[in-house]
Amino acid sequence: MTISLEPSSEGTVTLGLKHRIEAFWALKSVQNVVIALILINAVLLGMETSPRIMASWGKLITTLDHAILTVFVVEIASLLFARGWRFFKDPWSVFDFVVVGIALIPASGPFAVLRSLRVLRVLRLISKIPSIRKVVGALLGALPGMASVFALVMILFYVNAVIATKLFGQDFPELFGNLGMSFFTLFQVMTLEAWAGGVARPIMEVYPYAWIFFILFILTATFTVLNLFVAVIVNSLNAIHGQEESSKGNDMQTMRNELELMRREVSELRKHLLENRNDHV
Amino acid sequence: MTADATSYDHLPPWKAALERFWGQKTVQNFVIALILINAAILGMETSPSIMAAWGNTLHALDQAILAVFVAEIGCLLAARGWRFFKDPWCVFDFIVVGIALVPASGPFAVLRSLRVLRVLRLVNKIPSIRRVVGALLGAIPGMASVFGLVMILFYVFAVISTKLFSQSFPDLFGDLGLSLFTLFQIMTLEGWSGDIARPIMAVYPYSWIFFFIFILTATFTVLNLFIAVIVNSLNTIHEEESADLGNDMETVRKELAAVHEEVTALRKLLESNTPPLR
Repeated sequence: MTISLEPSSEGTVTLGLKHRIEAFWALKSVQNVVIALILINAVLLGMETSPRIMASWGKLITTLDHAILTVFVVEIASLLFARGWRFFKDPWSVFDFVVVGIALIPASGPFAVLRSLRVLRVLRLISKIPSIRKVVGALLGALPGMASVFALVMILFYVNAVIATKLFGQDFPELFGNLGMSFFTLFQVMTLEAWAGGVARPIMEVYPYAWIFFILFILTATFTVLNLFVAVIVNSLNAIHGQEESSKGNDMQTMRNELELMRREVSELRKHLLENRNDHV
Repeated sequence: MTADATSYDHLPPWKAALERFWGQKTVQNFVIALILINAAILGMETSPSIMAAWGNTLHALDQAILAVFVAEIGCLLAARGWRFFKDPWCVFDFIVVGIALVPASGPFAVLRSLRVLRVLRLVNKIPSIRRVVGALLGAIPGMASVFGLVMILFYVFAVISTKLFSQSFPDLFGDLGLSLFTLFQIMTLEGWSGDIARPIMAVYPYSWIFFFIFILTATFTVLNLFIAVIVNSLNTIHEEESADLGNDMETVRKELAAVHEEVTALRKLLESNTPPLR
């Protein structure tokens, strides 16, 4: 990339440079290279899980991984320079920043788990491929409207967790020993995973009336959560569909408007002619 | 496949005759009856006691019905030539009937059990079922991006879980393939807690975060995929039947007619107007 310095003030030169950086990373070909690098990186990170491959190719894979990481860091750093604080206003940019930044934190001691999270870089594909990005955007966009249902689920979980801990905590410490365990077990019951064989039946042997608790919880929690999920999905589908449909509807609307205008024009013309004739006669 | 006499005019007479014969309503109903009888026969073949007593008869009937199917497809293939393979339903019929003709021995022994796929020809023969299947399949391409998203999610979570848990749980997360299978099991919620999450949480207390996030995102997006396909295909069927778009068109057409009248009136006015002006 060649940058011609203009003999004007310092400000315009940097502005031009920043624009050039933005334009460079927005190029279709550059974006395709980045997508290819993300895919290659995904394969490399997959290979790293195999001890056999790592024994023979470990060095090459690590080198390639670092080279690709360098490209990503350069991309994000230059965009950060070009946009300044505006960079953090786009949630997808923040996502890229966090996901690439994870790789730069020294993965030792309490941060050892971060080494495994390096693969989150593959999620950059979501922000790079427009159609997937639209789907995720629609799904996330539908979430705020569901806040009240989410709050309802939280309240339900909390109330039932307290009740279950109080009722069953003594006899079943491994299931309902404390609030945290109760939350986990209730989540398990909500997903219907072994809720009867693993949880409800053993408890009913000690507390015969425990079935009331479990049936009420499953009916309310599973019902509201399913409601939450389906509502979010249908809303987001409508959002995507609406965007596509509105263009069709607009076409129809403009056509009708145009016709209306044309008719008015023609009747105006007729009135004019009629007056004209009356004048002449 | 309804017999439409006019559409076969460009064909040689024998081809048109073949098409017309197999397109007849009575012949089609006869084929549907044969498919149903064949389904019952293939069901009986699974019972050793019935096979011991009636085996030969059942086998002969099965072969006879198969011969009719082969004749039908052979005739249509002759009549249509390469065009036959342009209709996906015809290709489906061709494969499903063709399976019965491959000698079922050695590595192809499994094909003997696949003969029952012939019953799926009912889908093709009954228009209402065919429309439903068509709508379901038609909704799938639009979901490609959601499918891509699910693939990305699975890959990312498989790599993370292999790295985190393969040392302590080689049976569940030993390599990428095993991890993908275990994650699919978790997504379907089968034994995710008792068999997978709780044993792992005994070793890695904070692994609940991983399972919690995975269940919420994977189950969520896959549910999205399923519901979207269903809703979209329902919409497709609905749109075909609804007159909503037709109504809009109707108003536009009325408006157009009004304009036309207006313009005609104007023209007449002009014609009666022009001579006195000169």
